[in-house]
Parts: sequence; structure tokens; C-alpha cells
Amino acid sequence: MKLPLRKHKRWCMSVGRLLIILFTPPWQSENTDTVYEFAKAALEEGHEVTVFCDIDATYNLMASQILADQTAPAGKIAKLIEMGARVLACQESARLRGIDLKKNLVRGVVKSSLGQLAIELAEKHDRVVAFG
Amino acid sequence: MVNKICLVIKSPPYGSGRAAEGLRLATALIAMNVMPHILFIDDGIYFLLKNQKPEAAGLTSFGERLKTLADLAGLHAARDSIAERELKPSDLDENYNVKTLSLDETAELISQDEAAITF
Repeated sequence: MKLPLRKHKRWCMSVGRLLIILFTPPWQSENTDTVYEFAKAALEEGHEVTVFCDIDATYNLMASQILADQTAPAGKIAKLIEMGARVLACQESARLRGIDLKKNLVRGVVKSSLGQLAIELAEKHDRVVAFG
Repeated sequence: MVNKICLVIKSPPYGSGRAAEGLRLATALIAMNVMPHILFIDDGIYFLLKNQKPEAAGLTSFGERLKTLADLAGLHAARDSIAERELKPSDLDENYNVKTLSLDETAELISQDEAAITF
């Protein structure tokens, strides 16, 4: 039986577990926007997505950031969480940058560590993509 | 599961915490019995120079950590990156037993891995 291309493609694909590591802060590059679009596309295809924010990328997770046009990376992070992504913050990186982990993280962000990143890499994911 | 990982250190040792994070991740992976390839290219080469005294400027030395990683997982460096900085393999700290690689060997090393993460 010849399946229509789109259906055939979906039939062939299994659910992947994708780990995205983000190293860069908002606004200094397009990485945060790229990660958002990339993760969103993967989630829409039914894949499991984890985003690990390390070093300066923890600035993306600050709930209090608002730009003049009322947009902020926090809004995109919140959207990804709403869609089912796990978003992890390296708490040591955040602590070093004075980010209040109790009061100023986007709701749903999980406090994590480099040790946890090693576990995510070695045990929980099929693919890893790093931005930064 | 991603068990074959190459950590590519391309940032310099001082002035940014980026590369140090790569060394910490290497330590965490080894603690989980995952032996990463650790490859130094570009300004990451400066990690490997001998006779560094970062303590004199109030900075933390990576010497002990690099020695431990060298013993456990081995360290690799791109020969081209060394030459581009007008350095010689003999300028590298012999305690790290760094294996220097040509461009082809560097590509082959990375191609053995399932993931490469740059720091």
C-alpha cells in the first residue's frame, strides 16, 4: 500500500527524546528565538523536549524581564513549558548571577545542575543539540 | 541514550566561565561512567600551556582538574590551533599527556561520537 507522503513520514517516525542545551543570554544573539522555534517544532511533531539553560542562558528564565514592547524570553519559555517541554536551570549558574531562584524563575522551570545534565545526556535522551 | 560525547573546549581559560563549565561537565560525565572525548581547539589551547600561574591574579587554577581529566579520560588538542597561536606541542604541560591531532584525526575523533558540545 502506498501511503500519502505526509502520513508515511509520520508513520515512520518514532517519538524522540531531544535535549537542547542553551548557553547564551537573551538579546545578544538569536539563539533563544531559535531554541524556541526548534523546540516548538519538535513538540508539535510529538517528540519529548528538554531545554537545559546553562551559564548566561539562565538569564532567559528570569520572570521579571520585560522589554518595551512587552515581550520577553520568559514568555517563550513559559509557552514551551505549557506545550510540555521540561525546562531546566543550572542553579549554580543562576546563583552566581544573582538570580533569585525562589522568586524570579518562570513558573514551571526546574532547578537543576551539571550533574543532572550529565544524567540527561547519558540516560534520558536520544539526541542533543547545543546552542551558544 | 547518548553515551559517546565529545566536549570541545574552544574558549580560553580565563575571562569567561564558559570553558570551565565544559570541564565540570566532563567530571560529571566521568562520575556516571561515561568517558567523554575532551578536545581542545582554538583559544581552548591556552588551558594546556605549562607554567601558568593564575593564582597570582586571584584566579582559580585548572591544573589539578586537567590532570585528573587527563588521567581518567585523556586530553586531545588540534595541532592546527596550536600552530596558529605560534605555539609548539612542547609548550603544552607534559603532565597532561595531551595527544595532538591533525585536522583529519580531529574530524575522525568527533565522528566517533554521538554528540559534540562546544564550550
